[in-house]
Amino acid sequence: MDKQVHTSRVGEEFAQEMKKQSQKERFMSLAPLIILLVLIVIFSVTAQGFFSINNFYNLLNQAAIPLVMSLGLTFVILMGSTDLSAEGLGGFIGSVVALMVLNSKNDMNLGAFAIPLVVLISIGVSMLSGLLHIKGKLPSFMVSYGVSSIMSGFAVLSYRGVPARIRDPLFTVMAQGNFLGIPYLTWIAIVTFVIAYILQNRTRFGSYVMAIGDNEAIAKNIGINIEWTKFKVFVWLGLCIGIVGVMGAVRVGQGDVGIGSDLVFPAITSVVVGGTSLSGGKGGVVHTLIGAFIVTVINNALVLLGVSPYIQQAVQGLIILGAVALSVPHGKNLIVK
Amino acid sequence: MLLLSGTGITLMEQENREAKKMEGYKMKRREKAAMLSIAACAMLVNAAPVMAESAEPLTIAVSMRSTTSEYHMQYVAGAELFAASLPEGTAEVQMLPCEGNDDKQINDINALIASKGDNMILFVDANNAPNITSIAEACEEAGVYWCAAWNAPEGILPTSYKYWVNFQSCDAVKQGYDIAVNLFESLPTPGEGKICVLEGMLANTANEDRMKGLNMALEEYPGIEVLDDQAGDWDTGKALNITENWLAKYGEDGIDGIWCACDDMAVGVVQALTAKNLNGKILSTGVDGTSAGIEMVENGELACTIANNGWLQAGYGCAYAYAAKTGVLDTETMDDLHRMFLTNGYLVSADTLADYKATFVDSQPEYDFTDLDYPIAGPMFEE
Repeated sequence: MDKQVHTSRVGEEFAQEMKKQSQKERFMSLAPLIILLVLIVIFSVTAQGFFSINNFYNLLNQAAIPLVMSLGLTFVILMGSTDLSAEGLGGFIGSVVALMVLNSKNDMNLGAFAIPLVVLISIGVSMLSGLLHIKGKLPSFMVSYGVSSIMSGFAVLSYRGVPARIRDPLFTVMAQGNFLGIPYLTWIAIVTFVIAYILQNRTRFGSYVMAIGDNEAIAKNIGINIEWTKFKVFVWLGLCIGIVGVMGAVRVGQGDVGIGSDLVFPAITSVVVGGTSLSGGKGGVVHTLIGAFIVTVINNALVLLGVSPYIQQAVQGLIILGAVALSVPHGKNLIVK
Repeated sequence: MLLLSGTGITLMEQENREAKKMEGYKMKRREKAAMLSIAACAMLVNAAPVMAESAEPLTIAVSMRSTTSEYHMQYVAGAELFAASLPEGTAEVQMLPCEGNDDKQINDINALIASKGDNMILFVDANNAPNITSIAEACEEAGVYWCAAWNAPEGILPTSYKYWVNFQSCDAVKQGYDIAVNLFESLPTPGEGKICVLEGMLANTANEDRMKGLNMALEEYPGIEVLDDQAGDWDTGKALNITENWLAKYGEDGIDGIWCACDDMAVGVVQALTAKNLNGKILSTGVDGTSAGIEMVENGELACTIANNGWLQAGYGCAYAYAAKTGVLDTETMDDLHRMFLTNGYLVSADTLADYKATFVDSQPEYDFTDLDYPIAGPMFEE
């Protein structure tokens, strides 16, 4: 009799603990969204011009490139890897696309055909990088760093120090035009997000990536083709970097290796602030969307607030640290890699 | 602080003082010029026998930050211009880009010295000022004559070394002042209006000096109001985002001009303005004289830019090092002016655009590298 009472009490405690755990997880998954909303409210009250239609379009425009980059990296991070190739590869794609369309440096004028061409090049390079990591058993961190350096070198070689100014009217329209009031670059980011969402939530590929990130050994045991899945992640990453390179060239109106600078770490920050675990298996593209907007809103508001440039980076860092502390699950049982 | 400092006095006063000082220098220089010119003319004549002694052509090394910078590539072109002025086949140019890495700059120079010995001369734009000390020691030990531009640590001077022939810099304070005055005078109501300030990288020597120049101009133009001051880190994308944010904050009619510290950032500024059809209505500025900067001046989008003239800096830097190597100059008897001087930039505005393009865009600049006084715009230090 006593034994039965004891067993049912343990069962209740366990159920309560599970309930608490599930409530906590639900709260943690909502934390990034709450943080974003709180930031928007605070900055709407304190920053002149923040809550305006002009600034809304600004935020959409400024979030577009970081969002596509972050979406590319989300799948890499979800499976527990890291990739740094975007800096060099994105700069290379931006430099090359500027040389392939109507420009100030040469007579090549491939027009819109240049875009799929350079995106394919980006996918090819990323596939090579992936193969080195998967087949060569080399850490993705180091492989991608090497690939980034190589592509930076090729980028500089491509325009030999004098960047090509883009004269193609298509690029001008892409930079300045809008559809339904939303800038074209933002539409590209929205379409990329929808594809990423479908990939993650409506395909086996998305489930496999989560499984690999959660526990690669178990994923292998249940018959998931680890190498093939990883390879596809690098194809997706290459696609996103290619799009980002083109978008960068569109935005600045010229092609230089600088297009790739400051792409990687802000993107990783967006992914993590959004609540995706760096060790893999937790989070996803919706988190990344929120994370990208948190980072963009902070950057935007600090200028609108007129924060001195001498302390701006420090303030930015503090806000991001605070956001990460609130949005990423942490506790004594969590392994921090 | 190695450049002329104008803190506390107006540029007019400073220019008057400088003019007087320059008169004095000119008197001294006239006396020395004749001697120096005769010696320098002998340089090319001496060159052939010196080169003939060595089977290998002389290596003219150019160590600079990056091949991505159009301005840094002007250094290489300047060194090539100088090499072309020497007898054919006696010299070859080798560039050593460090891509922003201090260690790489020092290691590359050491590696080249190990390979070439003293059969080389060197022109350096130090990635960071402290690099100069290591480079000076390496060159002193190997007997390599060299020149530097822009960056050197405070108190470290060529006069303390035998092989460090000279140190030159553009007057960045004057650059900041000149582009500011040009912008203020180009506003819809000249001398009056609201501007935003886009600095380069904080704590960078050139940026700080350009800001000093801006502040001097602001003191002279009380009708100019600075709305905001942000740092764009010399980056086009950051400049673009900051300008978009300013337009959202102050509205399209709230800004009259944007003082921008370099051409790369000005590209971003103009892109943001173009998206709102404000290019040419809100004027900006630049420094460096890149092809994009020149194009924007031509389009009426920039009030002006200043070409630092990397051809002249590196070309004459190499000419000085070569003159010392061939015995035409003796560093122990050279005066301070020839060892530490300022060079002039070229202010490119609507008024000077045609001249600039004729000299620097449509053709390569031509210099008489035997006239070693030519690049000197003034002394680096006030006496």
